[in-house]
Amino acid sequence: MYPTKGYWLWMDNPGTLITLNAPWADDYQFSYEDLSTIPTAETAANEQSIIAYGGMPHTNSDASYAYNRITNDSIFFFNGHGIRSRDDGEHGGGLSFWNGTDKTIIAAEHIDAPLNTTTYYIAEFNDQMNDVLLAVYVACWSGRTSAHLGNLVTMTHSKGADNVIGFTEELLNPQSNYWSDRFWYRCRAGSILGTPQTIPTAAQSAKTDVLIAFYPYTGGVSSLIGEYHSDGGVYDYLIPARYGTN
Amino acid sequence: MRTIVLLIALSIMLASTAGSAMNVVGTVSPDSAKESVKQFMNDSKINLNLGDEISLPTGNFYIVGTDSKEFWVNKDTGIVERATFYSEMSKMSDTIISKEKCQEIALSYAIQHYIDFETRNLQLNYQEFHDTGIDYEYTFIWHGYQQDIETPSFILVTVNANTGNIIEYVGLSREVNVDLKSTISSHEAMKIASDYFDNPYTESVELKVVNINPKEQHLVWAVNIHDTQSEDMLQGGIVEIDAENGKILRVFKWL
Repeated sequence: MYPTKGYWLWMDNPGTLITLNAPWADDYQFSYEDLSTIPTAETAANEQSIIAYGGMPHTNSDASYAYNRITNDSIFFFNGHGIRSRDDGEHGGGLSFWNGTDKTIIAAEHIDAPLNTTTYYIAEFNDQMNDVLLAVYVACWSGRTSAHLGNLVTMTHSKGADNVIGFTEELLNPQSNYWSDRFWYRCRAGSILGTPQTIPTAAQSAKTDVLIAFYPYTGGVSSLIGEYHSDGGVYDYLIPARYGTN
Repeated sequence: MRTIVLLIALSIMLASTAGSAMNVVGTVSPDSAKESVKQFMNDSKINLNLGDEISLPTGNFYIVGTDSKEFWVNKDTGIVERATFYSEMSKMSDTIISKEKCQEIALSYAIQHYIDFETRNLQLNYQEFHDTGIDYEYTFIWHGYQQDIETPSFILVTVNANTGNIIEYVGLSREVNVDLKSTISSHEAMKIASDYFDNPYTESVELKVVNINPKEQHLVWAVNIHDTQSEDMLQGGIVEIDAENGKILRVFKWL
C-alpha cells in the first residue's frame, strides 16, 4: 500500500492511476562565481516529471527556501559546493547555497565552531523528514562527518528520509554533473529494457559511467555513500511516484 | 578561447548522452556486438537486447544486456569493455572474504577477459573495500603505463566480498598514438595552470596520455590546483595542459 500523504491518486478507469497532486521534487542548482551546476536540476526535474513527480528546478536559491520546503519534499536534490573548514581540515557536514549575492548553508547539526554564515540545521527537525523518499547531496564531502557540523547523510536518514546519498571526498565538476544526469536516468529507465533501477543500484552504476566517461579523472564520485531503505520493496525505487514510508 | 570551445563541446557531448539514445557511427553492427557478448560470457544461448548507444570521450558504445546484466561493447572494435552483473549486488552476511582472495579472483577475471593484459604494463594502484549499503565489495583498478606515463588503458574489477562473484568489470585498452616526450616542463605547466586561478597552490602535477574524444589523444600535464582564497568552499581543480604546446585543454573544477 502506498502512502498518500500530501497527494491524491484518482482512479479514472479501472487500472489507471492519475496523479492529481504530484509528490514534490525540488532540485537545486547553482551558478557560482567559479563554476556552474546548471542544467543538472532541469535534467533531474525532467526525469522526475516523466515518472509523475512534480519535478521543480531551482537556480541560485537561498538555504532558507530549501530548508522550509524540504519537509514537504518527496525528493530533494542538491548539486553545489560543500563546506570546508578553514583551519582544521574537518570538512563536510553542509551544503553551500548561493543566491548570486550571499551564501547560506544547510548543515547536519551545530556541534561547535559556528560558521559566520546563516546556517539551518537538519538536526532541528523532529520526524519531519518522514515524507522524504530520497535526498541526494552532490557536494564535496557531503557524506563525511565533520567535527563541527556532523554528518548530513546519517542525520537526514535519522530524521526519516528513506534513502540518502552523499560523497565523502571532494568532487570534480563536470564529473559530478554527469553522475547526477546518469543517476536520474538510471532511476527512471535503467539501461537495457527500460526497467528502472533501484536507487542504490542506479547510484553505483552512475559511478562507473563517470569512470568510463572521464578516465583518468573520476572526480571523487567513487566516494559515494548511501543510507538506503533497501528492503527489496517499492521504497527502493522512485517508481511509482510517492512520498516516504512513514 | 579554445579551452572554452572544448569545454562546451565536452559538455554538449556528455549532456546529450546522459540519457537518450543517439546514433554514433561505428564499424561494428549491433548483431556483432551481441556476438561479442556471447563470446565474452561463453554463453551462446544468452538472450540479449540492444539498449542505448552512447558516445563518450573514451569511446563509442552499444549497450547490450538482459534485465540483470549490462554490457558495453565498443562500436569500433567489438570488444566488450564493461560488464555489470546486477544480481550479484547483494549483501548475504557479514562474513567477508579476504582482500587477498578477492584480488586473486579479480586478477584471474581480468587476465581472462582483457585481451592486452600482457602488453599494457598494468599496475594495480587502487584496491578498496566498500560497504555500498547494498553489498560489501572490493574494487581493484589496474592502470596502464608506458615509459612510466599513465595511459588511457585500465581495468576495473569489483568482487562481491561475501560471495566472491564478479559484480563489475571494465577494461579499456587503447593504443598510445602520441609522442611521449613533453616539450613543456612540469614547472611551466604549473605556472600556466596557476595563472588560471586566483591564489592557487599546486598539490600535484603528473604527465598522462588522455583521450579528448575516441579519435584524439594528447600528452598532458594534469595539474591539481587548490585555491586558498575561498573561506568555506573548496575552489581550484585539475587543469590539463597540452605537453606539446602549453595550451589549456580541459579544466575540471572542485565542487
